Amino acid sequence: MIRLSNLTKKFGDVLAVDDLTLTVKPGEFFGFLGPNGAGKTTTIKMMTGLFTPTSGSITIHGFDIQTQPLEAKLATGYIPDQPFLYEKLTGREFLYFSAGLYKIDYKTATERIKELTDTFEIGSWIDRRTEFYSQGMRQRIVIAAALLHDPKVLVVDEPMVGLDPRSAHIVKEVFKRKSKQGIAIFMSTHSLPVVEELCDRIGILKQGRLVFEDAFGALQMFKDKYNGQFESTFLELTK
Amino acid sequence: MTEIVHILNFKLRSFLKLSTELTLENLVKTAGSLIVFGGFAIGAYYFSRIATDYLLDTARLGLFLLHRFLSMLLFVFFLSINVGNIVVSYAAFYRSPETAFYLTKPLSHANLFLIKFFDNFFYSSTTFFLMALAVLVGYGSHFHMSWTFYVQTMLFMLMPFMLIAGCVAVMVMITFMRFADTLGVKKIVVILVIIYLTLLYVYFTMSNPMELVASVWAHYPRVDDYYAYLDPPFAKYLPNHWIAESLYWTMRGDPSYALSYTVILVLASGCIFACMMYLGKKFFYRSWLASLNMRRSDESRIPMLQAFALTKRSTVDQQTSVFLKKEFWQFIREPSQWIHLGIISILIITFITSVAKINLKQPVPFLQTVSYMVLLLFSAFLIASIALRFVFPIFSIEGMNFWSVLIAPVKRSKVFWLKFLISFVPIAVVSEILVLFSHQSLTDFPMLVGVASILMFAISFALVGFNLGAGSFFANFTEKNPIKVASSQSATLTFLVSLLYLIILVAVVFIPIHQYIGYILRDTPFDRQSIYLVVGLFLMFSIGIGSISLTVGVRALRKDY
Repeated sequence: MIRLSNLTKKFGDVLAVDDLTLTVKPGEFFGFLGPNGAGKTTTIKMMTGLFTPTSGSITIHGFDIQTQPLEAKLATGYIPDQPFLYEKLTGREFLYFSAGLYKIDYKTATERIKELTDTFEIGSWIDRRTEFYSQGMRQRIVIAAALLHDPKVLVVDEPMVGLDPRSAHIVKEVFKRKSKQGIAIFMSTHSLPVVEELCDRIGILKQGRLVFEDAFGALQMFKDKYNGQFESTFLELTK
Repeated sequence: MTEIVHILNFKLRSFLKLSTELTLENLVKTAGSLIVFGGFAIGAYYFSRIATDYLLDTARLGLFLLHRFLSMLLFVFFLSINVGNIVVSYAAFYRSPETAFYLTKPLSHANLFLIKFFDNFFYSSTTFFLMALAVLVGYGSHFHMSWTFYVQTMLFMLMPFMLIAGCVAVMVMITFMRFADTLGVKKIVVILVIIYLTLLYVYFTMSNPMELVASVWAHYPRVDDYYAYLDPPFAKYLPNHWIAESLYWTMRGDPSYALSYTVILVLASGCIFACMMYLGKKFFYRSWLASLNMRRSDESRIPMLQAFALTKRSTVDQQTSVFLKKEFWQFIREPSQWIHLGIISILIITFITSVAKINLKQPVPFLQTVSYMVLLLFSAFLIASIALRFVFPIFSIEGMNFWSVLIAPVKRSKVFWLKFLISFVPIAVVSEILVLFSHQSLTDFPMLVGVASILMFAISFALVGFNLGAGSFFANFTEKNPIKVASSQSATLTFLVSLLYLIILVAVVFIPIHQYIGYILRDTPFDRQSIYLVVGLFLMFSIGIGSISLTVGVRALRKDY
């Protein structure tokens, strides 16, 4: 369960996120949309503890990210929009590094790394330094690292960037499976087809404010109003 | 040529835009840099002026010996610029994303090489150049030289001299990269280190300063005459000798000889620049490709390092274990880190082996105190430099990858303290080794070993704490190059405060140490309590400085990433 209550973030005079309130229940797949600069990544960075909210609160799996950050982080798997990795480590080393940070015991870590390496078809790249990886390969490692500790909540920022169609398909299948297992997924993306395919509910952010939030089905009446296309609806809502 | 001017123009504009943004932080950093560089420049000017006055007027060393000593200093200066350029050139030529960017543009390899050379040369040599100017003004003011002398010397002597050092450095680096691919990096590094140490040893053995002084003073009072037959045979081929000769003849009032050495210097710098350009044109791109292969080498297969493998089970706390192992691999797989560490280690070893052999005993208490304080200060300065180079950038070099640690269920304070641990322990050990070796000839003053040991421990704690705290506070996660982080304005400001701290050290401990030395040498009155009190106060002061800095650092780490 993810709960954002009256969340606000200011950078100097700039209001990046304005009084945002929303909830994502266990097993729910929430699509977070909005034009560039709307405040999506800022919201996600607050949810993962990388930014401190100016006001409001965030609860992850029952833990407040500000007062119980370690518990909240333990329950979260985060996939950033830019898959930066320690360049001097190999993919395998990075996964063991992440496992250690989440205190996963050695045996479980080894099994999980093997399983995730197979799932994401990382192959022999796993033992090369990440500085030689393509964007897609980095993305696979980052997604694998986020799933290592069986998180209760997944926070995903543009997961399909750089992935080839096969990898994108695998990632989508993994997300669907995780959602069915009861994991709350909060996904920010610009890919409207991905939202249509995966999400149960969506929220559209514009200039830091939530301008639409409802179950995906509720969008139908908007879609009907704008030539039946989600894209047209999105453009109209964010105009 | 147009494209080079175009690119350099944009680089300059970008630099100026970055440096002139009017924010409080920028103002503080700029003021700090001005104070540091201004302070150094004024210090260098006075030191040079006083030293020249003393050597010529009081010690009556003579013009010939003065310029031979100047030549020796210039030789060390040449090597410093040269080694500095080698270290920075690796990052500038082979690691910079800018190189990869320009390689995709319709820009010839020779032009790209030239742009990177200017980048590297101005970045590594500007500070040296400004310091040299301050020293030159101090030296020239003794002879009441006009401003034209300084302009001419800077343009036609120091510039070509530094250009030669920079060009040789880049040629060494290209050759290194060219052969490292086939011979292996470590072999080439060892060969280079041996070559440089041999050069240093041969130079100072053959131009023995003591013998030179004795030979010239045998002709006293005609110490200003020209005794070139005393020079070692290879001297006339060295650029430091050409500058020294040119200055000597200028001061003797014979501009024709001075001019000939200046012409030699300018021509030689032109030739070496042309050679470097030829080498760059021929080998730069190939060596850049070779550098990619070098980065693929896998040190984790070295059996000795297996204990640090991230993929091995660990018996200690998992978070601590993986974090420390990550730090280890990040360090040893980054050539700009271990090459610099190697150079500093060689300097430390050279210093401790030299200082262990030198008899530091002086008959006069004041001289003994001064020589002891110089030794202590030099050791402290070494610690300050190591802390600035390796501790200050320790957060910045986490870079954009730091998110993976910050989102994990790890206390940020734990991350901070682990960084402190890996910085403080080795630096404290080095500082104690320095104390041990530098006090070998001071057995007559048993108390000084203990005092130095406590002081150096306090200095290590304060400087590591301060550099770590400042490094966290001023962290720049977008700069990948640790050398650039360590020479940024924030780093300069940090170094300024470190120097102020060392000045406080001298101010506080000088008198009680002088009294103790007086007591041992002349049996003058001395109260042991005074030294205990001062050392205790300095220890507390250092712990205070270190602790405050560490607290600020931990808080800074909690800021938005």
